[in-house]
Amino acid sequence: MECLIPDILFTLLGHKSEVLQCIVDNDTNFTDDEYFILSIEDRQLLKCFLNLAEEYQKLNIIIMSHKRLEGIYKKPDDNKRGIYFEAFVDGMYLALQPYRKCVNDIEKELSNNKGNKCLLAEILRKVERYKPLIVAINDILEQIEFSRLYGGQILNLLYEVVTMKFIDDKVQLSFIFKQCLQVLISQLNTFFARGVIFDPYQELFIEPKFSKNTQEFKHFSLQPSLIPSFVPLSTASKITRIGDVIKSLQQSHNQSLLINFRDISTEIYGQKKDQLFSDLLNLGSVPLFTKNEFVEVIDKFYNVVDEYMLKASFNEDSFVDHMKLIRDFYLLGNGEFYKHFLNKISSLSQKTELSLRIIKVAFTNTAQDVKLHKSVRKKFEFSSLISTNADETTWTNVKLIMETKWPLQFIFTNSVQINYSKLFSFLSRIKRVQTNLHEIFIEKKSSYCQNGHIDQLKTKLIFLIDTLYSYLQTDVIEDEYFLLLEKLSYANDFQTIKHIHDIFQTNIMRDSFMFLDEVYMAFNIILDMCENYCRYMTDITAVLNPQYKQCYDELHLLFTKKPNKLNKLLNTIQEIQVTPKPNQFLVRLNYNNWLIKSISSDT
Amino acid sequence: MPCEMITVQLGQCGNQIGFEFWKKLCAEHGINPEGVLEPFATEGVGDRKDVFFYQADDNHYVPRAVLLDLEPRVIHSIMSSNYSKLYNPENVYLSKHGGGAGNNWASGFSQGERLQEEVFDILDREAEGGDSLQGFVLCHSIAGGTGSGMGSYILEHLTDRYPKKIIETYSVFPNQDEISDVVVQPYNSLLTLKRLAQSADCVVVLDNTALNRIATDRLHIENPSFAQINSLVSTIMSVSTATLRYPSYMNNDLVGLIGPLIPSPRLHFLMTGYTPLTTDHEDANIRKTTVFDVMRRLLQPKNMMVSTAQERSTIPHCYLSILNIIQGDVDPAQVYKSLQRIRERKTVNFINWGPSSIQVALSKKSPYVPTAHRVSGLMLANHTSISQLFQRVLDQYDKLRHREAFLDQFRKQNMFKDDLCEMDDSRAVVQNLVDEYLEATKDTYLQWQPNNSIN
Repeated sequence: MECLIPDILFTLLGHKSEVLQCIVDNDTNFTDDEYFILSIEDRQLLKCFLNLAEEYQKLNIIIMSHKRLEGIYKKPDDNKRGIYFEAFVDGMYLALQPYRKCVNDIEKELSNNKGNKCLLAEILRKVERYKPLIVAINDILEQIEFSRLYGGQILNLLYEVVTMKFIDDKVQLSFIFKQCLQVLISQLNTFFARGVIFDPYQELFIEPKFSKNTQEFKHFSLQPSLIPSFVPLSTASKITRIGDVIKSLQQSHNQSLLINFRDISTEIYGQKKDQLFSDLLNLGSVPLFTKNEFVEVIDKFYNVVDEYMLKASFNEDSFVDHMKLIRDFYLLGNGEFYKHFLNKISSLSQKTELSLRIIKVAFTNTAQDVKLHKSVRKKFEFSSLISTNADETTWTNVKLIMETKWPLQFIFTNSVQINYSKLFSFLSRIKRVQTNLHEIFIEKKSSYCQNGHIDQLKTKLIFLIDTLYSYLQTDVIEDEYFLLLEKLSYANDFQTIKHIHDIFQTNIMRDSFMFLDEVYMAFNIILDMCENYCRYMTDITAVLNPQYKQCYDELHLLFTKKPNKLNKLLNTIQEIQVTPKPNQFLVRLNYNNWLIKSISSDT
Repeated sequence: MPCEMITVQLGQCGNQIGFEFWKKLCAEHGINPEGVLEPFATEGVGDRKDVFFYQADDNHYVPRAVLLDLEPRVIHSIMSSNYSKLYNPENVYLSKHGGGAGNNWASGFSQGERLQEEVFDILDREAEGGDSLQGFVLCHSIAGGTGSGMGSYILEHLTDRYPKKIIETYSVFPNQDEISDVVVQPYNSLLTLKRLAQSADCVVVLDNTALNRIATDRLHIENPSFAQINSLVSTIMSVSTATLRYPSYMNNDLVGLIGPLIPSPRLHFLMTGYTPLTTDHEDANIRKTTVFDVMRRLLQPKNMMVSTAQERSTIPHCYLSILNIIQGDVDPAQVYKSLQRIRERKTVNFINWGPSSIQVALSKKSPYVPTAHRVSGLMLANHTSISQLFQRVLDQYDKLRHREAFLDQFRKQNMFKDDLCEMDDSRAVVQNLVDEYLEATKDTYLQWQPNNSIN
């Protein structure tokens, strides 16, 4: 029996031995004189050896096939499972080292002490200690194969196995896990330094998104199926946000594509850079790696990036200046500019359909007329919300685009600018109607048809529109803007600034009725009516147009008790519960208790 | 592309208040008496100097002002002050005759007619100099001869010549508390008032009675000088134009300011109030001004710069409209809160025949002129009690006319050579104005028809 030991050891190292298999199988071909009959107990032992050897073999085949040099030179084929699997294999190799050492040690011992009697049972006892490990690894391997796991999924599986408390071979298994974790760490390392993902097999849970048309980088997004469970979603988004920041910073440096992956870590992380990256790399050697360690390291990175962005946002009052531009140009804070701008547009085009070209010309001309600084004018561009190529547009579809300075594009994002554009077009319309109504005041001031209803209608319309505009500008925008500047002085991280700003925008949109389609549309209809009224009053040919006449009659209804668009609108506003502000509009309108009384039905 | 305003200052009083106004504007915009921008003001603070000034070729600022008088005293004193280089000398017009109007409206009016070509040459040239002229501001007194008579002539013809421009006047009404040396003052006032009613778009009434009372009672000056009164006037003038000169999100043009104040075109006489008023000695630290505080004070009759006796009147006088221009350190939320508190107190009476409210314009302050108070405010209000002022003019006129007193001076002039129907006509116009203001206190105002027997 002892003479089989070399064979057994050979098998235990992953090589196939047909002889042993035959013996176990009791194959008659081999039961000649040279071999003695094994006892049942021995056969049982041998079976155990073979069993273990078989388990190990499955792993060894994979290890060997990956270790072979030619594999590297082979063209990557479909069977290749990516770098995480490679790492897994390397990890297996490392994890099984003690087992291999054990077998080798037995062999050495035997050759050194030939006289010593060696009991098979003793050998088995030694090697079987590794059986649970080998079986566990095989289980993992099976799961990987069965579920076709790859990349982050492998890492996730390993993490879960390692953190399961009742597995004894935690230490050895964590070798495998750490090998795979190392891949993630290296990927994050280049990502945090250069904004680049080294991920040839798409195994990482982060992927860059590019715009369809221009193939320009847009942002990083998450692949939820590849996020290991030790990466909470919030942490994962922080990682993509850091990447976005790095990318945007590189872009803001206006680099050519060739050097777009420049290492900007010194700039962004400053003196903390070395500490941060060494913390990241150390994650691979933390004895007991858990979610907490990972989250902590990412948070450190994130906080430093946030701090850098915060500094940049307040550098030279950048954010405050941007907000002033928003206030002045999207929210018509520069009233003087817009008075001229809207007049200019009216003088260039009488149509309701607008040409973007005319808007742009009017903007540039007005800027020159009011001596607006060139650098300010150049920050703004107009386009259409619907189509980027069309020239014709309507007021409601005008998109005003503002150039932002890094890192403020993370606050004034595209969707934020679209929201501001909607406010812009609403406010511009009101202002235009207001200006036109005031013009009628001038047009009609010398005609002596006073006390007739024409004058009173004009007076009431002016009151309505002036009050609406005062409400929006003072009670809503200026008030929220005041609060924004106040809150800003307490903000100490970038996300807070973003949050403060988002609240600002949401509040002013909400209180400007932008979220209430019914109210918003009703205001637009009344503005339409006012526009028609202005045309009716100033254009002599319009008087002959039955359409305007009808509109004129309808306008008269507005301030009566008969059902009309205004009392319906005011009733709707009265019922708004979500925010107290619209009530201020009603109080202003009804300040002398005239309006509501005169238009609401007596019932 | 500013909305330019041309200031026309007429007669002794008009030129004096105009002079104070320009001094104030220069100080607020950091322009020195010679029209040169002070070194500290070269950066600018988002102010619009070109509404009231233009820049000459050498970049110095020149007021868009036309100075007219029939006698040299005041204009000479201006032109010998250290501000002499500020004005465009071509815009300073002194009648060669130099004898003044003798405090006679008719003389002023006829001299205006005689000199119209030269005067309108200046005005037209100045008007053509602007890209988008908003209108004219006329500063004058209604009691004397030049400001009232020549002012009336110019007012009538400005309206004809520039029908689409706004004509605003700052008209000084005489002090009723002291005996005037101008015996024909009631005639002058009545005849001017007709033009203010018919040809001006907006009249800011500066009542010397109230201004003197405010100076005595509120500022504790025993015998207020012209200069002290004029300083009050220039404050009103400068604050009422602040939103034009420091443009913000609202009220950037004159029509936007006055249009809503005038719901009915002939009722275009505005009274003003300003708070807080302080003398140089008074310590501002004792008072903490808030928006509500300012808005509440502005509604008190004692702060009103027009002397009416609302409390003694049996007529339920009321506001047609109110605009408060608030300057200083203001939390915008306070605006609505103050409006609401004032409304809850129900102390402000408004018209019942149309919508009306207190409009509030927040305006910047000049950083170059230190002020003692955190918040200050000017009220421009259209209030029916202003008719009491006109009634007073009618009463005084009736008294004088009844005695046929001092009519000879008028009969000497062409206009009154044949008859005095111009006076009768003016009386009817002013009476109509008083009537209309009284009608405006009633719910039935919109059914009221003016007496159409007058033009």
